[in-house]
Amino acid sequence: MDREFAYSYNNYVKYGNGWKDMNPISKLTIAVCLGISSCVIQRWQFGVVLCIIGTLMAVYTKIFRKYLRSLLAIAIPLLLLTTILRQLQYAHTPGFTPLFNLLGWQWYKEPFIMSMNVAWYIIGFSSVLLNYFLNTEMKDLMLALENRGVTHVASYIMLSSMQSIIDMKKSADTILESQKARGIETDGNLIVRMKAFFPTLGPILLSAMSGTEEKAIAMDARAFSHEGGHTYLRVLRPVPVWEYILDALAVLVMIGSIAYAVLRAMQRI
Amino acid sequence: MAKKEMNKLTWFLVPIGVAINFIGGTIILLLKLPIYLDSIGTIIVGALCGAWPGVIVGLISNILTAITSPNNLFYAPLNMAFGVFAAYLSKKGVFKKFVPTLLSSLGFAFIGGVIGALITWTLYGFDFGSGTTAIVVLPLWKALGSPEVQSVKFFIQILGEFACDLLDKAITIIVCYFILKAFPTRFLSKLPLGPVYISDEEKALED
Repeated sequence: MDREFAYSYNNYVKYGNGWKDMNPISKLTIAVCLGISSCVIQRWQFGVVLCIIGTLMAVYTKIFRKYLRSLLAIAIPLLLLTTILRQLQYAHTPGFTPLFNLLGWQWYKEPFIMSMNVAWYIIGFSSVLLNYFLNTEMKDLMLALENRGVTHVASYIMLSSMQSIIDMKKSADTILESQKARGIETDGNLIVRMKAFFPTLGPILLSAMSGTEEKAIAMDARAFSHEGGHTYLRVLRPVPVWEYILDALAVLVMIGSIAYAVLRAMQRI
Repeated sequence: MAKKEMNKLTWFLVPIGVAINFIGGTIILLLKLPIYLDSIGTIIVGALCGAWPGVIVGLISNILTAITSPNNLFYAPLNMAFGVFAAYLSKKGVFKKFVPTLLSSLGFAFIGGVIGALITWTLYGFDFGSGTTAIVVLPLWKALGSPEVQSVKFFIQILGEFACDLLDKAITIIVCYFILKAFPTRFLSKLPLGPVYISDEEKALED
């Protein structure tokens, strides 16, 4: 039993899901290439396709709820505000095609398409990136980067930042509750709430900053600055050939999108 | 050896800077205040440790917020520029006195206005953005007779971003000023730009 447990650290990290099990850098390449494609094409059709792919992937990887919550938080304000802004902005511009009348407010086709193009390319970009971030453990990404020669300090900074946020949020809640208990008002008008801000933030920041020195000493005692090779409790599987092929396809899509955008820009000129 | 020690402490301060950026935003959300305060950590680390650590704090903060809101990635250069500007001002000793510190918020808001407008402008297909700045930008544009000249529209976008950023940056800078004041000399002396904040009397005492 003990031996089995010890040897389990030699096994590759596995989540039992094709996309999740991919090497984090391969996944990142795909997500970034598709995201850049969405940005350079700037067409609502491409954004919608990316969003559909992203949503299907989210269902497949069982992150749908988290994905949907984050995507809707981006998509709904973006779609609504951009559409309303462009309609207000170009309300009296001559030459635009009337679309429909909404309780006396005339909408036009061209500004509507403009807003859809902008909103959907950002939603498409967000969809692929959300899929990446929600399906990738940051420690796996940093391990993959370390395997490619990135310094362990970068891993420490990234992972420690995430942990510090969690720790500091806890301490912010505690301090806010303590300040409330000693009589500081945190509800009320803007000035009352503003006054509560400083006694809450001050202690959190100063205690976190001054704790850094002890952390530095503690980390040094654990050979943080050791220059030699490191050992890991996680092992990523070797990158299979099909992942390289997928990456190459994603790069091709990106190059194609850039070429399309350049050609379109040249036609306009 | 001493320099290496200093650098090490800087690396350990970067995650704290990132967390401070988050916590500023969280407390603002808890207290329902109409500002962001999401660059306190960047400015403090930039002011104490230099431009590069400030840039790293800005970049990582935006990468981590991108986990739930990927379009924040586009605005990473903005946060990174705050780190560089904070280091520059810190070297000049601006954050040592209250009035110059408060005035520096104009500089931060200007950077926020220009770089923020550049990003928003590009992001929204070379047109006005639909964020909170639209509340200022659209009425201003209409008041000027809705000119269709791109440079004028871009200038209006800069003004909008500047106006929306000014209050936020002024409060951010005041918070940073008091935090920088509160650091003990023993801690400041170990940071690359820390000695800037140690008074002559304290330096004489140390000698």
